[in-house]
Amino acid sequence: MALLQISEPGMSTAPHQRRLAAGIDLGTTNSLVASVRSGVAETLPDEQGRHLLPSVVYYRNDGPPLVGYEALQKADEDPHNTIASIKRLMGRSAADLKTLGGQLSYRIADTDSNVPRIVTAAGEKTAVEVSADILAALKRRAEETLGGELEGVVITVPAYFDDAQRQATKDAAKLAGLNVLRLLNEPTAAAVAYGLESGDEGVIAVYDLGGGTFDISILRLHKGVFEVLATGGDSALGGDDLDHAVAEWMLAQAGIEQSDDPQLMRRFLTAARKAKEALTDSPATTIEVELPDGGQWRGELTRERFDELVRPLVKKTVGACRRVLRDAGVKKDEVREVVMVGGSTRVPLVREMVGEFFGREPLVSIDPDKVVAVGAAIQADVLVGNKPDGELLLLDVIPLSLGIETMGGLVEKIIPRNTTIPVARAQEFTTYKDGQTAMAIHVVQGERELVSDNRSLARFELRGIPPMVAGAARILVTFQVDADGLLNVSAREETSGVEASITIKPSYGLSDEEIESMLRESMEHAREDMEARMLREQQVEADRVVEALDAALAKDGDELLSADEKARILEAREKLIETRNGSDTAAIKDAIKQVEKAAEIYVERRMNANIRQAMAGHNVEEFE
Amino acid sequence: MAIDLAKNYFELFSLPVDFDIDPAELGERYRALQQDVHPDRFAAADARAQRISVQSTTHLNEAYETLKDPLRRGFYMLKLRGAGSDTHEYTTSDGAFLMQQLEHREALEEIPRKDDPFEALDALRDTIDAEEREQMAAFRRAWDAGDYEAANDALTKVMFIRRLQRQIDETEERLEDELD
Repeated sequence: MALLQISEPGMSTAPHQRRLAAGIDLGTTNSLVASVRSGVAETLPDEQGRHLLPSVVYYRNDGPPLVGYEALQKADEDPHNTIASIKRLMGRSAADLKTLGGQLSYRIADTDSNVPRIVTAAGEKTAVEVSADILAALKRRAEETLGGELEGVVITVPAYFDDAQRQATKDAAKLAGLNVLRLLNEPTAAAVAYGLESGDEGVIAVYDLGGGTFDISILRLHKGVFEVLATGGDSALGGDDLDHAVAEWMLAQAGIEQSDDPQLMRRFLTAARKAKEALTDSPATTIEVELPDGGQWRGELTRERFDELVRPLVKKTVGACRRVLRDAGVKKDEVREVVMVGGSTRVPLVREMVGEFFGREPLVSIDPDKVVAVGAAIQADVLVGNKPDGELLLLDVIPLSLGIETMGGLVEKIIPRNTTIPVARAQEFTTYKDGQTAMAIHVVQGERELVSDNRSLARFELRGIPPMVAGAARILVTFQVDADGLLNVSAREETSGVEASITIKPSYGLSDEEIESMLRESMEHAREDMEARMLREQQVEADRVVEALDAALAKDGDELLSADEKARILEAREKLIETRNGSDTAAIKDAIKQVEKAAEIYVERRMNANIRQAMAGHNVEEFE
Repeated sequence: MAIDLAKNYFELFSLPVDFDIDPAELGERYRALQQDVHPDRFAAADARAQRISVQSTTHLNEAYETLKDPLRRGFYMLKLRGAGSDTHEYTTSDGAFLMQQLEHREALEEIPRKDDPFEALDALRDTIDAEEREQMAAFRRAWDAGDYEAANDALTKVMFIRRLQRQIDETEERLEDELD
């Protein structure tokens, strides 16, 4: 037990001065900052005692931006200059935003740039800049509260964040003048918040049901080492969906058919959320909503009825829990603790069903809104060097597989998902054509077989490959993922030593929804994918055959073949091209065989001609 | 603190080159080494120390993932002896084995139409898990006898079995989704 250190306010406690560090939960709706003070990690409030900082920024032309509650108040009055939910835009391209379309209250500038810019009274702003303003406000709060400059911070990101999104988060921190010690997955942070205090060992499940997303992570804690075994979830599912379920019931009760009035819908949703929150502590609640005709709808919602309405949604999250356990290779009864994160875990049915599934009471003693920031603060304290003998160590995994595009638009996975980082994997590829001097490397992320179904991260080219016959070049492609989950890809031709590399830093990335649906589709489409893969492979093979045939014919076709023989081969070639453009794998295979058959005699003659040529001018002895 | 990259994966964990590994012991040593080399231990250090840390941890992770999985462990052992195939084109010429795999696959396709598909899946899984154990035992025997070709063939068969196991999992997930 260390002796208590007592010092006057403002006096240094040197030589054992603590380095100032903080943990930041940069959320979609709200953000928090926490720090370890006197051995206790806690979130830091503003002057008015509020811990949450709404993740909203208001831009004006006559002063610095307003952040948080002040900005939130401007939302109705000046929606174009009030930027909310910026996290959804982090690491996204202009093209990605089109899919978000009408959901945005602010305007995106038309530029050629891939990075979307929001038009505000203070000029055009990128998502990184808006996030930086939120981070700067948290930095200010922490430095004023702690009385000094922060040496480093840990910022949490969703487990599903891809490289571009992580990089964007780091860029925002840099812009805000913060030194990022580590990006930390949100569920891991939550487990840290509980793990250290209770000193438990074993497998831990982190169940995070936020406003719009659901994450489930399985971790193993062993002698201070947290190992993420697997992460999963459903990013199109959250507390908002519970509100929707209740609002729909209310509309039905009020005798309102599907309403197109967005204002009315918002009123019902607000009332639904209030009812949901009230039912956390009481068995029934009364709901009142003003109707467009000036009347009022009044109804009673019991806990029982509410449970019935939201049960299918909660059940879906339990299904995801089952899947992630399987991914982690862990049985239900091996789970020693279940950590609850996110405001929606206050719903009693959620706690009940999750508890039932895992066969134990979930941990709820830390405020589910603050638990992530608290965990980040603990990790920041360790990383900045305040606990040189501390045993806490976090081993993280990559959430989605990384690979490259191969012939026919197929993905070759190089690092499978849930691999512990940092990691480096290399795989050898070769050239497809004779004399090929360049190779395009297309880096993709996702679980599907076809490139077009996955996320494109980056493209680059390896040039200067010495001309060789197809298949002779040895191109080693290396993927390196660092401890923050950021990727670097390099390619090197082994016989000549030419190389090229890229750090994945495009300013766009996958949305949670995309990742979720990609994961789900990869399950549903496993069979389709296999069939598609077989088709593509045959198509590639067909192209290869046609190409080789054309090259040969151009060289010595007229010399070695009669007009009749050549016509037969060309006929088979035409037929192959026709079938190749269709989608019948077996037919393509058959057409390839037909070409081969038609060209049999040609191949034989070429071989003989080649041997004659090779032997010309040489002694027979040389071949013995 | 850095890791000696010249050591083979077994030496790294102070283990003999042996197929039988105690997973708990391996995990323990892995985590102990992580405590020394992980980048989080060097978050406030200079760039050189950070680079060495990333390099060491990367090597350590690869070593652990390789030894943790019996299949990868087996292939790695063959590689240490300069045996086994380095390409990704694994094939086996054991016709009886391939035929059996085909039958399992057909059985799997029938399962969703059964009255109790989950029970049938579990039964199939048990059968296939037993086959995997059989092949692993075959690998061990071939290894001990110095017959690396037979050892490689056993591992290749495990790859077929693994693929089937994944398909069983996928089928189970699909069935569960239909229930939810």
